[in-house]
Amino acid sequence: MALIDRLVGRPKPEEVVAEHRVMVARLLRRVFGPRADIDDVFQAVFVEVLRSLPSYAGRAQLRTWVHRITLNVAYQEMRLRYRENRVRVKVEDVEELAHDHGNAETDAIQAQATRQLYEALEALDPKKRIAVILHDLEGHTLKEVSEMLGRPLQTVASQVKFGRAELATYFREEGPNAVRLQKVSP
Amino acid sequence: MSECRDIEPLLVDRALGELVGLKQALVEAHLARCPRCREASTRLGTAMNAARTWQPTVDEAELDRMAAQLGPYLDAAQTPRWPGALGLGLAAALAALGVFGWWSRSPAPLPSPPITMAPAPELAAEPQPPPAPVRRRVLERGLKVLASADWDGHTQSRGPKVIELEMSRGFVVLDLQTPGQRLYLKAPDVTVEFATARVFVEIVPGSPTKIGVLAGQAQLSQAEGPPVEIGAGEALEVGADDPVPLGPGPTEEHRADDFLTEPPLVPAPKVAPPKAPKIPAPTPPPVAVAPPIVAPSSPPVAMVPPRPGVLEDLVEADALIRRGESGPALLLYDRVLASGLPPPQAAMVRFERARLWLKLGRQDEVRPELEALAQVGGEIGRQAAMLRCDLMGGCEARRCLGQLEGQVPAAELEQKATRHLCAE
Repeated sequence: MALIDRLVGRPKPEEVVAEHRVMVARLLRRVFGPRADIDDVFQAVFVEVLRSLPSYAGRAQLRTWVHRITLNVAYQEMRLRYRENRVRVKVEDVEELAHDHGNAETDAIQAQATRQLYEALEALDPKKRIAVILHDLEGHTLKEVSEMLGRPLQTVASQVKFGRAELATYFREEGPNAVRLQKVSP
Repeated sequence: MSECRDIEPLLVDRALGELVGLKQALVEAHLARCPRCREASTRLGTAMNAARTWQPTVDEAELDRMAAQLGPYLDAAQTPRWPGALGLGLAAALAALGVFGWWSRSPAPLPSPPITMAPAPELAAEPQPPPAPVRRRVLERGLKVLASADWDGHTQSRGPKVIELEMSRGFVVLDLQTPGQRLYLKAPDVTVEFATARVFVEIVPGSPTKIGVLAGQAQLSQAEGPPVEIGAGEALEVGADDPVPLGPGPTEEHRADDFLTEPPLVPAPKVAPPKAPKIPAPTPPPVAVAPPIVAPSSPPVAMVPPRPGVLEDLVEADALIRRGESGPALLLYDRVLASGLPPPQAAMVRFERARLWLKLGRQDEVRPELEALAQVGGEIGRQAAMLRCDLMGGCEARRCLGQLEGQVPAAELEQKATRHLCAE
């Protein structure tokens, strides 16, 4: 490893990929939903990480740094997909949404409910969507979300608030037409 | 109704258990008398709680597969920088080779074609990285546009494994990647079915439609005539009422003809022995083809013979890249370029060659080539200019991308720029 790399605690590229690939993949799954194709985004994230690695100065923890790049790339991709409206969670594809509660029927209901929420999230503007996902699903505080996304705290608070309202509207207005939660035989 | 609207923003708060005091009392009172809001609140609460408890998991095999695609980028990231004088000397030597290679593509006969002076031993000795899937525009899951010019079409998913693409005009190179997936291409008067293939289509209103398969296999069906199989390296013209003039068009940037017909005027320099070791021609894997969509009765398709040499080399190079053998593919690109392609197509091949150089960590060659290609203009010029900026990284990349404003769609520029971290 070069001297400068050792000085700033810069890791080897293959170590970065090996250590963070699970975190990146999980975060992308969380952001894009259980059925979305994350191959391209996963690759784009690490291409960006590897390209930016020489400029990583060790000021932030590496995990935080990779996390932030992942969110940036995911947000850009989300905007593209939102424009093209090309990713849809498939109604019939619920088998990969295992919640593992030990009860197949409960799992299936939970899976359907999760899928339904991601359908509703897809209708949200990406700015609000990513704020809601990080705050309400991932459980980060508004301050943490604000730091992760590099947006002012008030902006994030506003995006979460309006995102929530739009989610509720979706569930209320799409109610009769939405996919009903139903029991699915194992 | 207005009360429902007032309550709506609070339903998620209720689902998350964040409502207290007066607000909670108001919401509960409303829900007690409004069945619609009550039902929405229940479903929303179930969905929110299910999504919160859902732990995203990623299959280890899927993770390995995705990580394996990063191989070339990892190799590029690990390529050591040449120290000072040695680096300059190497750059000068490579630049000289580049200039020589450039002049060697002139009509004058070549004393030694580029293929003989490529650094084959080094490339053959080092293990080649697996091919990196190029990030291009994705139409549907598994279907990508690798190149296009003035094309108009739209896709529709007909199920998890079936994509339908209706195309009315233009030129496009499509890559259908996912095994088991099928693409039904509906062009005027013809339907073509592809499965795991790389194909090009050119539709010019008033002229026969051209369909070619670069890798994989396809089956073509018309309203009349039996289905026709198209193998790798083959191309068809469909609905040829009038003969199509062959040869490169004067204005089109990408023309299928240019890969299928003899190039005009410029004599292709012969590759003299001793040749580089012959690269075995890859046999495209057999692709399962489903029955035709339309039952036909007679074949009104005219075969266009591919130009000997160039198309085969490109198909072979593509197969080599898919197998991760970038070095030999590079030699083939050199040979294609030495054979004298028309400038727009030469630019396409040069751009692909530059991307291979990048995979192999040959940065010193990539930069001047991208600079030269950026001057070519058109789609290739734009892509080269953007890649050149990307390679700079950081704030410099952002500044460079900023200079492309007006040449590249703003959204694309913005997307690229935001990927470069810059503290300024």
